[in-house]
Amino acid sequence: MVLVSAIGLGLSIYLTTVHYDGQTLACTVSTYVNCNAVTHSAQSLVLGTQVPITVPGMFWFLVSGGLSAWALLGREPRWLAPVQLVWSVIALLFVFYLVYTEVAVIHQICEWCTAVHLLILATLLLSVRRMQTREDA
Amino acid sequence: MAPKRSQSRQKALRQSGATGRPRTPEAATTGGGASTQARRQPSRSYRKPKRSFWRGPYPYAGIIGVVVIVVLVVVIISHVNSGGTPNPGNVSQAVSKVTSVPESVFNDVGTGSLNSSQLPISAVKTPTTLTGSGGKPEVLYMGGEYCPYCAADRWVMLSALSRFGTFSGVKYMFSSSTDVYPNTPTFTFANASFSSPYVDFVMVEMYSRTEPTNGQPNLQQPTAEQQQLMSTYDSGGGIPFLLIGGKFVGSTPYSPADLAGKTQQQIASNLSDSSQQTTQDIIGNANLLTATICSVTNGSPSTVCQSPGVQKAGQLLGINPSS
Repeated sequence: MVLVSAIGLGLSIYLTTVHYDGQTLACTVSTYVNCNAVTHSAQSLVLGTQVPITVPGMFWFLVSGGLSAWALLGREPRWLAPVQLVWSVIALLFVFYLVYTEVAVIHQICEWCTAVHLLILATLLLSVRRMQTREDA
Repeated sequence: MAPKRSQSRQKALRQSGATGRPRTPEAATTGGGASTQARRQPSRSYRKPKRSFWRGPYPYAGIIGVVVIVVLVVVIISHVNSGGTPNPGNVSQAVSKVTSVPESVFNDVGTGSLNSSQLPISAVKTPTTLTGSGGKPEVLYMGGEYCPYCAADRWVMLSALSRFGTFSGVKYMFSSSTDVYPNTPTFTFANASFSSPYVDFVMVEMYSRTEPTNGQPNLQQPTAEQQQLMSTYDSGGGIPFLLIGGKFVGSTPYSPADLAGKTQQQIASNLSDSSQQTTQDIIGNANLLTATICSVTNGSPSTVCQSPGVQKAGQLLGINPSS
């Protein structure tokens, strides 16, 4: 989970940097795939601000990685696994919203965003695994 | 009270079948008691331990199932809303802002920061009559998606020509990331169409965002006639190439640097504010292009061609857009 969080954090930093530098993403451009159309859309900003949603994304991966690292340090508190599970579920719900905006509003998919979404899904599945391990212990 | 409590306890033990002493000879010899009986003759009150929700593959299957269902529902909603065809979504919002700039902005900007010594449109030395397939005056654009100057020019063409007709199929594009003025935000005309009762606009995006190494068109192939027009009126072969009715030829309208660091939405939204530099660039040049188009449509439509902004552009070019 630490590795997944690190990759996710790296992607979020890249997307944030590209946003503020005004650069374009290395990405396929076709009828259905256009990262720049997605990352330059109004939905790519935190509501009512000019802050890209990759910034809260960075924060999410940072917290997720922190929680995972905590578990590696030694005896983890009993609340850690459930908190991580809830943290992942919240993120997945937001991913559902983002997928909706990509597919139903912008009508174009962003490859980089999809990679981040899959990392969040992986984090959720690993959180479930941790809950199972916790019950076995 | 004590004997009474003892009787109740014994009654409870009898009911549960756990009397605390052997009930059968086998049980007595083995000493297994109630547990042995339970092993050999399971009690009716025995319950299997409750299986935890978290165990097994069910949580994973549940999560994957929910994800698949949500994605399918979203795709279906999208498909139903768009009538089965891809909808540009936010692209259409941005295009809509560019193609519906208020007339007051055109008039406020006039010719923007353009001056007569550096005009991006000029009359050709040997004018001809260029008409489209419908017999209307033709505006021919030849360019490429990688080209940053074409990127800047498309904003002008989109806002100017939308005063004469309607665009469809315009998509987002960025100029090449490896050329000068990299990633200039713009649109592409590669799959766009234009309809107008006044003018035919022919768009040829010859090159994709990735500039071909051999210099040959890799997106849309120009016709022999178009190539001939380009070589006649643009001996250098540079793009963008813009020929208006065979009478005017356009070149790069303004520096793509002015668009750098902005999104299409920001530029499009700013077009309602005549004080913005990008608005001065785009709308000032759009008035200039409009004036030349008016001169080949004989001043039609009059509401556009007689507007103060277009008249001012006509004065700068030395032409009369009203006739």
